Amino acid sequence: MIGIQLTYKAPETLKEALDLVGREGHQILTADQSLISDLKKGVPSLHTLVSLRKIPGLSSINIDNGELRIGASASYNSLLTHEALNQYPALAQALATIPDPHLRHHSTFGGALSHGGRIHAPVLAALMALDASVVVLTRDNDTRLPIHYFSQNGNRVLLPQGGLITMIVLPEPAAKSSAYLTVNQLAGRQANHGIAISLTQSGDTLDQIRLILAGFTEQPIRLKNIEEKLAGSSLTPDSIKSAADQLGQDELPIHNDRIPEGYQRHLAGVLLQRALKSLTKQTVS
Amino acid sequence: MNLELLINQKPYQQDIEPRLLLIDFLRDYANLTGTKWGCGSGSCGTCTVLVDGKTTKSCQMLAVEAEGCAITTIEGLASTTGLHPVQTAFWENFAVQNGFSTPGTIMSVVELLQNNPNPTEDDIKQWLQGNLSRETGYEQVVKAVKEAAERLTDQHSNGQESASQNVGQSLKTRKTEALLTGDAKFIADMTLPGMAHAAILQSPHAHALIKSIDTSEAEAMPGVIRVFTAKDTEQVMPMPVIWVPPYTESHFLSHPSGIVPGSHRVFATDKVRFAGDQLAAVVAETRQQAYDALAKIKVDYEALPVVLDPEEALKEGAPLLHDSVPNNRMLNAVFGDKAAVEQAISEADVVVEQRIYNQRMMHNTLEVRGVLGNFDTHTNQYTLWTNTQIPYPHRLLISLYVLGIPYNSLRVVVPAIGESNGCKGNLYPDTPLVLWMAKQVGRPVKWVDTRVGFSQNTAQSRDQVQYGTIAGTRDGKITALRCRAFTNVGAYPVINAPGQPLPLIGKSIPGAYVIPHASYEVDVVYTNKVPAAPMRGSGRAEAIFFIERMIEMFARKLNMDPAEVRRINMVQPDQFPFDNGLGWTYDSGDYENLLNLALEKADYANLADMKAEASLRGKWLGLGIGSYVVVAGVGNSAKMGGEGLLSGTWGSSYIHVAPSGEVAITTGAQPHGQSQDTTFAQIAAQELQIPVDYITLKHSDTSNPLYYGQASYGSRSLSVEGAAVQKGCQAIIKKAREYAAYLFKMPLELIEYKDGKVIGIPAPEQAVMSLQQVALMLWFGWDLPEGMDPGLEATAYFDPKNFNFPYGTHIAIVEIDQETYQVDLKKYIAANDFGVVVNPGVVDGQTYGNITLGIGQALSEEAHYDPETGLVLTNDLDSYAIPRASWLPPIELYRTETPSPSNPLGAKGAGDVSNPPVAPAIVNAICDALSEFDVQHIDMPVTPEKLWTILQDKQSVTL
Repeated sequence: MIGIQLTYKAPETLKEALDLVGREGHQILTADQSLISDLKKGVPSLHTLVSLRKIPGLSSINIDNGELRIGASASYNSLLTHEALNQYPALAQALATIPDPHLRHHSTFGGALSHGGRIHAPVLAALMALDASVVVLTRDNDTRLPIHYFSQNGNRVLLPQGGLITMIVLPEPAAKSSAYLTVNQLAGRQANHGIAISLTQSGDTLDQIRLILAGFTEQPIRLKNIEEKLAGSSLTPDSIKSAADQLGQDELPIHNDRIPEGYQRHLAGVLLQRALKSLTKQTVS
Repeated sequence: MNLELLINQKPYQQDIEPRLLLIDFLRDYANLTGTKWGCGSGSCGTCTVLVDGKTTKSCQMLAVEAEGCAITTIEGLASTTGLHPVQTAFWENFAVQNGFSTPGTIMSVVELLQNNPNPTEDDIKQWLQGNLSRETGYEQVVKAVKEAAERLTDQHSNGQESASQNVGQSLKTRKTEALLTGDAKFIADMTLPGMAHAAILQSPHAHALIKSIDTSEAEAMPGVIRVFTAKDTEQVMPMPVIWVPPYTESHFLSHPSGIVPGSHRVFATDKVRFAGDQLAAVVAETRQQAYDALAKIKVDYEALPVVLDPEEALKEGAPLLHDSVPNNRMLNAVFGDKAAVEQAISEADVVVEQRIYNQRMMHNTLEVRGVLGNFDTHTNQYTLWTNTQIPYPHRLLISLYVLGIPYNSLRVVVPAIGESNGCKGNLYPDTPLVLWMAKQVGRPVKWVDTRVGFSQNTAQSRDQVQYGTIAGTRDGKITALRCRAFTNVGAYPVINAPGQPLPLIGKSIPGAYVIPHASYEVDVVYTNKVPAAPMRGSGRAEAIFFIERMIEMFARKLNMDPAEVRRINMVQPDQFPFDNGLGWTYDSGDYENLLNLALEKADYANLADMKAEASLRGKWLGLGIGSYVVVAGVGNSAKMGGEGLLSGTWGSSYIHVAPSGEVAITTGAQPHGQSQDTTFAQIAAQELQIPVDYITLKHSDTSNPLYYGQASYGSRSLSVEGAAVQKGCQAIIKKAREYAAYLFKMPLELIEYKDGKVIGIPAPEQAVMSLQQVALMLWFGWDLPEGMDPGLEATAYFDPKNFNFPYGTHIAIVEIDQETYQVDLKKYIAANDFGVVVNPGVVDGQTYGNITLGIGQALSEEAHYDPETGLVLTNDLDSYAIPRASWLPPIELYRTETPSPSNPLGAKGAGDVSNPPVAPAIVNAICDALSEFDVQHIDMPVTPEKLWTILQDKQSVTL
């Protein structure tokens, strides 16, 4: 039962949708149903839902010019059954942490950015590790935002008023390795802790690395300082340990207060080290 | 908005509100109530349907978003040729108990098998992550899914069915088809002509004075019929308390009857005492309108200090909940000889002490509570439909002590009912309130709770602090055990409040051991928490956790094998009947045999090798033992009266053999998932020697022909109510033989009852009548012996002289990740003895359910409160973590059968008795895994963060 009165609109074109999304109290419904629980708890400022379900093309997944283009209304399940997914192990492994078929069918990539929340954290982390970009349509233009825009120091950043996410774009994987690691025990409770990693190497040297922690903060958080420190170096047991030791308050501002901060910081360190070791086994063994 | 869609291939068109959820459309507009509302947050999966073939939780989707879609609900699954193979497989594999979670789980499985025709066990468990089962666990569900896969791919061959349907056979459960097809009507599925809907306002403060209540805006809302507050209900009496221990001073609240003490009223009057205390109610045309109006009621509170901890509540100066209760102490009780225990402890070689907190648990049944009340002005009859496990006590307590109406004017009916876990064995103020409101508005009124409401108004459980001392000799013999306890009963006493903290815990703490000196002292204390009541395993769970942790610590202090210390102290087979020194007389068994069996199955001899191998993988491996013996089979009535229970606890049955030969049995049991329709029919079929299909069970309605039903709780049904069925059948046979002796003109001793016939032994070909023929002749009543009445019927009672005592040993093997502290349950072995088992398939299901609940208590479940406001923080199934399919390893069950002398069936309790050993087995395993760090004890739930915190002091973490 939803306690607030709602108006529901389902425009059939992007132009009609753009006319609506800029208005006060209007919320996009991308076919992602995670919003429903929030509605039951009450969202005082919301009075109109703008569903994208009738706009053609938003659920498509295709490869264009080497890029994987995922429509904002594409479900997690539709990507899980897409042959391109095996090019992106981090994303495949992040999706695998969501076994509930309802969530796979009714969680969308646009919803991950529009609604946030713990369900979407692993997928968002993987997208961030893979340097995805987000196609945002406004009345004036069609721009691409880096996905990192949506997370500032672990806090969720909303899309500017009037914008409409139509697509998430993953660059060609090239020689990049990636993975998503999680801790299963906590899956039954509130937090879904995990880490997404991607990297490219020249011999033993790390060229580029992305490290994204999920579940510790409101939105997945990029460990930028650690990335910078590791880039251009070879991984050794000492450098891996040193990276984990960097997970202080500045690098990882813990937002989840139901679990002791000390343990979360410890767990983040374990995940970080495991992630680094998992992709660079030959280097550190 | 106009909505058009297909449901089960049938087109529907309806004008709806945009905020309407798909589940509400299916249930309220399409009248397809097989889809169940459970948690409302997409966590439990009871509302699962297929939308365009995709598994969808219909509580998480707006109906308008299903525009143009094809929906399949449970009602659309079976075809004209019969059940869907998944439904059949669930039935065949005992995967259905109360059936509330069944439709949603089946719908999810249908999609799994469409996508993956041959899933592995892991595939199935992963897929079922979105479907909770609170009563039966997942073992039989997984088996059912595997079999369904075989059926769908024509690989399944039907097994050989046993010719016998009698005691000891896993006869397929009866009355199950309606649960599989969604046709069974639970309380939320019921409607009556002219029915109105109620919503009840709960206090958001745990302790506050009520300054004023303004209902004017609510009264003006659309569809509102009446708004009620405490000023309207002055004539409604408080809830009664029917357990008053005679051996100690107790402080309940006043009750105008003068017969029993009281508890809270239907509405709080002067102040609220827990967040959830109810203050007002709205009756409206629709449920949505009732809740919309409820949000408009304004209450002015003056907040008071909150106390949530029982030891704090006892202190001078603590916030006082009830003016008539000094220091918030409901009562203090002592079992055993404290002085003798002190003396034994002082003389012992070894003494171990430990504080243990058995955490507050929430029953969190997937089906919330609900009530439908009606008052017929023409007949002056009240009818109450509610999902309670105690319908006859509801009739008595509501009529006599709450509403003050004639007992004979009230009928209580229990529709199909989801699991209870014990919380539906209480009388809540909402129940008489809804009935009373129905009379006031002159219409049937229905109230079905919300998940948040349930978390705040439905009893919670456990919540006891125990200060334990165990003492003994250097060679491992226990000489003394002491438990000083503080029980947190919350803000008000429930009807049987003292039962759990007093005898059920206090007399059970010696467990399976001979302990010469044991004592238990408890303070039962009011706090600003939700009232507490028994929960599956009640009392025994706290006691067995206590003794099994204490004996483990004792063994480790002595550096002895914990299994050997158990052996040294266990009650031996030649010691029965065994007086445990605190009030229980154990009936029969071979406790050590099941300990040894479980150890063998766990490969205990190779534990060191297992540990070493796990260590190479970065895991600490541990093995934990949970041995138990627990009381079950309540009555005896006199003994329970001696404990203070103001009720009989005998079993009863009424058996009616119709002229057609059909047998109808009314039982005093109240099924809520235990399959008495099947097991009691098996007992009667064996006794009467007729096919089980001739036999029908009646229950769940106080208008049935039965004097009184003492209901089902605490694993009593089979051994007490089932024994009454057996006794009733014997009375039927006795009359049939006496009648045959008269007709055949033979002495009674020459009349044999065999194969459902009375036979004159001297002339078996001529002097023979079937039971049906006897029933017909007695119905005619043309020729009866002197003193014999017509008809073939019998009423029987059974009041056991003693309780019965099921027992066993469970073993858990866990691995703890040395970096993340994640606890993985690797293996679980349960060796139990429930006496004579009537239906092994049914009992296995109950055992899996008990184990699943115990795993939840050990590893994840705990009611959390805001320490400042007293609000329940775990108010949904996202924040209160119930075990899911993937958490569980394959569970191995082993069973012996030692008959109980306490009843003629030889049965012992089974429904909740195998829960108590689970949590201690797991915590013992965790402590064993961490033995190198000298971790003596960890309070439940044992979470990775708790382990990390403890080990911070114990080790230098190197990664």
